[in-house]
Amino acid sequence: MVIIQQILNGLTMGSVYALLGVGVTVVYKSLGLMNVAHGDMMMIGAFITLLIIDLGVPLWLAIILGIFCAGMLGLAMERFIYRKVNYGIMLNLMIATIGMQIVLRNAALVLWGVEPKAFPDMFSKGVIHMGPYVVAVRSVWIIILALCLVLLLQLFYKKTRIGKEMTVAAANSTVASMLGINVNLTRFITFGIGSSFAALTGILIAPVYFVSQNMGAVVGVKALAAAVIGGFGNITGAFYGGIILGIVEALGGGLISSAYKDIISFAVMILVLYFKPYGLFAKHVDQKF
Amino acid sequence: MIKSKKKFNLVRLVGVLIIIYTIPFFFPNAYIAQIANLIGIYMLMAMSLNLLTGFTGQLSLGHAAFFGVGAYTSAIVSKSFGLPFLICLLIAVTVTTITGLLLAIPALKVRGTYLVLVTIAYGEIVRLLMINWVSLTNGPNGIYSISPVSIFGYKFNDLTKSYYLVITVAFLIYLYIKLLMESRAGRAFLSIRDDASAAELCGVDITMYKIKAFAISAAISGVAGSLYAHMYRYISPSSFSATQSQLFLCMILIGGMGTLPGPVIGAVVLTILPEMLRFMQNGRMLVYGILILLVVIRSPGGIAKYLSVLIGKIKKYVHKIRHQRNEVSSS
Amino acid sequence: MKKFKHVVSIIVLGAMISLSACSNNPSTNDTVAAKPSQASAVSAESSKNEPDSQEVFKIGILTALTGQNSNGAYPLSGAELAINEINETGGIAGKWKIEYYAEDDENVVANSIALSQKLIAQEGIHALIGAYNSANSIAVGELTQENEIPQMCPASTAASVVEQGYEYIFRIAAPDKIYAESIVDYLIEQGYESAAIIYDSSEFGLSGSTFLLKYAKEIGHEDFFVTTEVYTTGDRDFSTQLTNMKGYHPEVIVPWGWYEEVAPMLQQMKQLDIDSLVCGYGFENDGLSRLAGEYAEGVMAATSFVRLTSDPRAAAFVEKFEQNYNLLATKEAVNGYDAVYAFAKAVEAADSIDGKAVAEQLHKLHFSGIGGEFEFESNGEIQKRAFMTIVEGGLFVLID
Repeated sequence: MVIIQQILNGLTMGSVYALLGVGVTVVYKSLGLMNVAHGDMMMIGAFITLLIIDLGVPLWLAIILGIFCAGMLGLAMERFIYRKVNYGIMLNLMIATIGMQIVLRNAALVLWGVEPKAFPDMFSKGVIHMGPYVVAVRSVWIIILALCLVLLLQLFYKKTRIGKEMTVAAANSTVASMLGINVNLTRFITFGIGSSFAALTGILIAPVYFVSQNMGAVVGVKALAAAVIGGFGNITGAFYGGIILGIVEALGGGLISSAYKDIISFAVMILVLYFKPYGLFAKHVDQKF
Repeated sequence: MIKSKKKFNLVRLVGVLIIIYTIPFFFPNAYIAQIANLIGIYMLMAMSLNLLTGFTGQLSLGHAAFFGVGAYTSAIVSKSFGLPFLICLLIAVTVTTITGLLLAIPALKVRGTYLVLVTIAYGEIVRLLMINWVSLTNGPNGIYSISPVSIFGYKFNDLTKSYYLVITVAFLIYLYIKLLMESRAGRAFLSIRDDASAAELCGVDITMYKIKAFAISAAISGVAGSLYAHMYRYISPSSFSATQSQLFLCMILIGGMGTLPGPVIGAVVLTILPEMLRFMQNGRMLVYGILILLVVIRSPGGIAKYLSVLIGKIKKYVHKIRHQRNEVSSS
Repeated sequence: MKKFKHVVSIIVLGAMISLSACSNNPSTNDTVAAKPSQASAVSAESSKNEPDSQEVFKIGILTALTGQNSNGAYPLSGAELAINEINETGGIAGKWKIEYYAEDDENVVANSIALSQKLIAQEGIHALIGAYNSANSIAVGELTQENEIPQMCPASTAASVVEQGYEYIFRIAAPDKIYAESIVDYLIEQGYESAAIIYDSSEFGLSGSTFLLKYAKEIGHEDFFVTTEVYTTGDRDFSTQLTNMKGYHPEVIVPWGWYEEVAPMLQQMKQLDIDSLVCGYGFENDGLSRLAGEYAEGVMAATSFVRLTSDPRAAAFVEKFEQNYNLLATKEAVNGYDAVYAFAKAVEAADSIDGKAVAEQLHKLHFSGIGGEFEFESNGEIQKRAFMTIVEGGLFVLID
């Protein structure tokens, strides 16, 4: 049945949304800041990795380096730009992310032009047959990766010291500083982690969707939608939110109309926001802005 | 004392009016006239966004949707029923206001971060509808040969003539907003922006004023959209994208968010800049992005704030010189 | 607050004056930043202010260079090549030198309108080559009509381009109808019995899909197309559409869109185990192989110009073009080239650069260009032949 295949398709796209959504949530947890430029961070990560590959570096090494560099870029962004903006006024910070989005997208345009670029595949191109249904090997890998990373993150936040510090700093930065936690450092690290996640996602999807300056545009908004649906600040929630969004989108496109596929995603997001403003899996995190 | 101040303001007002009405004589060709028209229309959009975001604190990244709804409604009504411009304008404004109210519904429940998401989603939905609802909007091809503005038989089919119309409307809306912000409603808007909970505690009906803000903002956008459709005489979905919404936000940011002259300055600067920077091509938007970051970091009040600070400094300097001179002469 | 209004009006005034001042300088519009990946030799000589010893025929070239699905560098380079050739021989009929002004509308209609306004009002062009995509060309058509400036479209293929009633618009690119018909004819001839269309939601894709369906019905094969799917420009994930189509088991899939979208589509088809033949239009560009690699092999497309041609004149053009520009010679490049020569011939025949006269001559013109021999119909339409090509070794080769 076409439906089941659509659900399988949705699972793939959904894991991409999930990964990105988790990245956005990490940043939100720590700063109360919704980074509109997250999708574009993904794009830049993919481009940087492509650059490294073009220099002749073997694929796997290039990927690790690329993620690392993207993480560094994220750190630099926090240190030199976002920190200069008054963290107290969320509106300004939000606007700074919008400005960042414009800068990232257009810098990519200037540096690499408008044509999409191919990216070498890190997974086999094979497919798995389950009866009449088909799943690409890469999709399975992406889903597994997404799951593992989310689990790792949860462990990081719950078990490690710095993870716990970051959670406290996110909840209340004044109290955190009083407790001797270096709030600036936690923000700094958070951005590094968020950017690395974004870059990883970009690298994972680059072989199929190619690298172009606007590759982060629509996916970025959907990642935010995923985080919102899952409940902002809730990492596992964002993961599920992404998967759900992917499946709903695929089903909507299959059953209703492929032309209106994107509209369905956005409409779902607005509906969830309207009926359950804290998301479907909210743990009732205080909304900072 | 007060009387002389009032007189001074009147002189300034007349001065402004003289300037904006004699500028057309400096138009060397139709191309420049078109830019002037566009500036006027973007001023309206910027003022509309500023009312919602700058004064009421509801950050909207989907304002191009209102612009588009106004433009499309006016164009569709004009082409399908051949109604005179003023009726088209009225219908466009009504429809846009209704969409504004539609957006207000979720906006009442969510704020800040979530609101931005809702506006982004809303903007995308409207754009996708424009592209895919072919029977209504003619799809990606857009609507062409829209008749020019014609009021009581007088045709504004010349770009210079339509400039006069557009700039007059912009001026009137500017006055309207000024009066609005000086009234009770204006103070309510500001209180919602600064601290909504406190305002509620003081007895301000946040719900009603939020709805008002969305409605008025949408209405002004509807006017802008309608004028745009009949001035350009061709509209297509590509003019109402997320990039356009970002551009409007840039305008009020760089011009000075939450000030009265801010949107005006922003509209002028950000419409002329791309024309002057055309040779830069791709680099253009990059410059905008950098400008936004600079403004947000250095001078969140935008150009307006910067200018007022500058003028303040100049005044102080002049005052100091005068004071010194007086001291010298008296000693 | 009033003082700010004062300040504002001063700024506005200053801006206006400075803008009008800079508009009197024609040299600001000559530089065209071609896409970074192509080293387009923008020859400065033909764009400088010529001394007044000759009359000048000004051509405006409005094209999409940056922005989504913008391949405007091809017709621009083709036109440039022709302009340089003509100027080297002393201009049109030895009387008129050609000056050209190129603008990039970024594939945004509002820009097309503003820029054509600029070219007409400020640069004072006598003819326009452009725009690139169909919707943009239609938008500009109104302006060229009002100002009596002949406009030739090197790449806009939608039917609606010549259906607006504009008398000054000429289409030198083969229209969608021709491609649609050759595709359907070829597929049916080869014995295929079912096909599915997947098209771009833009005017271009919509027009193509409409013609495919219409023509199949006309020749009595109404059930040939079993389903259609649509996507938006910029989409990269087509699993939903492809899965839907797979349910109908079509023997052929006919994409009608640009290569940026068709390339990922090819890969996703393989991943969904779809082995239908792929044959369509809009993506015959070496970018397809560059992005899709092995998945592009065996893909077929309709075109009006085959690069690996046996015609000596065309082959000479291909060689010269590819030597001068870092681009493969496509039909859009040929159209840009032919457009300039068509204008030149019309100017010569009219013995004038007046727009109205030139347009009149264009309607009567019998022209032999690199793209074939043709005439313009009364509404500006052109009749051309289409060929079927297939990707072999990364390039599109003619199927005979």
